[in-house]
Formats: sequence, C-alpha cells, structure tokens
Amino acid sequence: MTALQVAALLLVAAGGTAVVAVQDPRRQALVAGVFGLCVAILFFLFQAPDVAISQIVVVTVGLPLMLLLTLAALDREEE
Amino acid sequence: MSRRGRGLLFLPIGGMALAGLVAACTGLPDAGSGASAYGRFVADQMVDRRGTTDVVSAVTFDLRAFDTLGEEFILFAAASACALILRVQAGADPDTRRERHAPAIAFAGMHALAAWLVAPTVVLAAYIISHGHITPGGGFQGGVIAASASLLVFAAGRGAITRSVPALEVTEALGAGAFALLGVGGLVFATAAFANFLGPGTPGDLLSGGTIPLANIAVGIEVAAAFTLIFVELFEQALVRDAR
Repeated sequence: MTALQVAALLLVAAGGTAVVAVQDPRRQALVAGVFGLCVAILFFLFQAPDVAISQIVVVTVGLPLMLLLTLAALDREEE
Repeated sequence: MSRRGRGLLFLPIGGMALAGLVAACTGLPDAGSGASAYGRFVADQMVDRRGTTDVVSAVTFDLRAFDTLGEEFILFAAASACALILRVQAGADPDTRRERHAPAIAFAGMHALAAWLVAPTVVLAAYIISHGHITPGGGFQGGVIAASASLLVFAAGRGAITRSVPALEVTEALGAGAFALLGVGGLVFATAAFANFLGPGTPGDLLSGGTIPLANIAVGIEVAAAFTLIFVELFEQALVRDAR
C-alpha cells in the first residue's frame, strides 16, 4: 500500500466522522457529498476509476439533492 | 435513554463490531494483488476479443450484460414508482399541471453561472457516454451528468423542464427498450441473448467494441431521463407545487 492510499484511507475516516459529527441535516447533506468525494479519491487510488466516476456523479449530484429536496418537502408539510 | 446509558450500550456493541471488522480484514491479500482467475482472464483477453480498452465496460455491457439489464430496469421501476407515488400524493393529473416557475433560490449571479455551465456539462456527458468503452466512464455515469445538466437549467431559473415530463417518460422507456433490443439482437444475429453480434474493431477507436458503445448510449439515455424525472418530481413536491 502506498503512502497516498494510506492518506486517502485516513481522509475517508475523517470525512465519515465529520458527517456523523454535523448536527444540522442540511449541512450534513453537503458534508456527506464532500465525504463521498473523499471516497471517490480512495477508489481512484485503488485503481478503480470507473467506480470513482460513478461515486462522484451519485454523491455530488444525486444524494445531496435528494436529501435537501426531501428536507424542503418536510418543511412545507410542517407549515 | 440518557446520553450515559447510550454510551454504555454502545461500548460493548462497538467493541464487537470492531473485533469482527479486524477478524474479517486479517488475512486479506494486499491491495493490488490476489486477482481472481476471472479478473486475470478479463484483463488478458478482453482487449483482443472485444476491442475495448476499458475492460470494465466489456464486463458490464458484454460478459454480464444480462445483469446490467436487471439493474437498468431497477432504475426504471424506481423512477416510475417515484413519479407514481408523488403524483398520487399531489392529486395532480400531469396533463392539467399549470405552467410553473422555478423557485427563487437565487443569489447574485447564480442564474448566469448555471446557464453558463449547461453546455459544458452536456458535452462532458456526451463524451463520458460515447467513450465508455475506451476510457473509464460509460452510460450510467454520463447519464447522471446529463441529468445534472437539466438540473442546471432548472437552477438557471427556467422552469420549463417541469412541463416536459411526458417527453421524459417516453425517453426513459425508449432507452430501456433499446438496451433490451440489443439483447434480442444477440439472439437474432448470434447465438445467445446479449451476444456481441458486431465485430470488435480496432481497440482504442471510437467505433470499436461491437455492441458495447450502443449499449452505453442506450443506458445513458435511460439513466439521464430517469434521474431527470426523479429530480423533477421531487422538485415539484418540495419547492414548486402551490399550496392548494
């Protein structure tokens, strides 16, 4: 395992902890997106570029958007 | 339960999970080694046999294209179910939707930035889809990027996309159907479903890999339409729909 791969693993560990540590769900959705990008870097460094691209598109476009829209819909129902 | 109680409960459970994880990870081969016979075969043979320099797409769209068909229709069913449930909740007939305007989610320059990014995003999506058999990427990844282009249209303040739902549905069905037809084509022109019935061509050329680029395009269309449909329905529910 190279030093870069170890660094990426530590980055993913820190990112996962950050997602849990954030309290506000809206911020959490965005932090989860950044965390997903860290995982994409990890995939890339472990020679899986196809998976890395899938990870990037799902986690930066799909996941935070769906979370934010769901939160917005819940807010509207409460009004 | 109190914070202290939860902590006490977590310690033994977390300890057990950690022990299981450590036990599972010891004895694993080092990263980059320990390839299976299947992996070695694919890496050694697929460039010559299928003309694809990205062997991952040769696996997903040729060797196990039937699995990909299943995944394709999982997404298709998910998008349909999403649209169905959200529309029933709204009690709205898609034909009677009024023209809607994009929500006021703008800070200075956001509309302009989003509009400026649409064209490069579409080009990137087309590149990722059309070069799926040569470089990493493919129909799924490019399709989601294309869907994000339609999101950018929405973020640019153009609500027109919410009126194109019927077209999105037809496009999604056409993409999924085209991929299934490629499978039938294998039955008709070769021996089995999803057999690659076109020649491999020269590895590295845009027109190579037989049916693999066609499968990428079909999947790309299906994924782009499905994700856009899901986004539009969620947008309608969360932001645009007027309180009745």
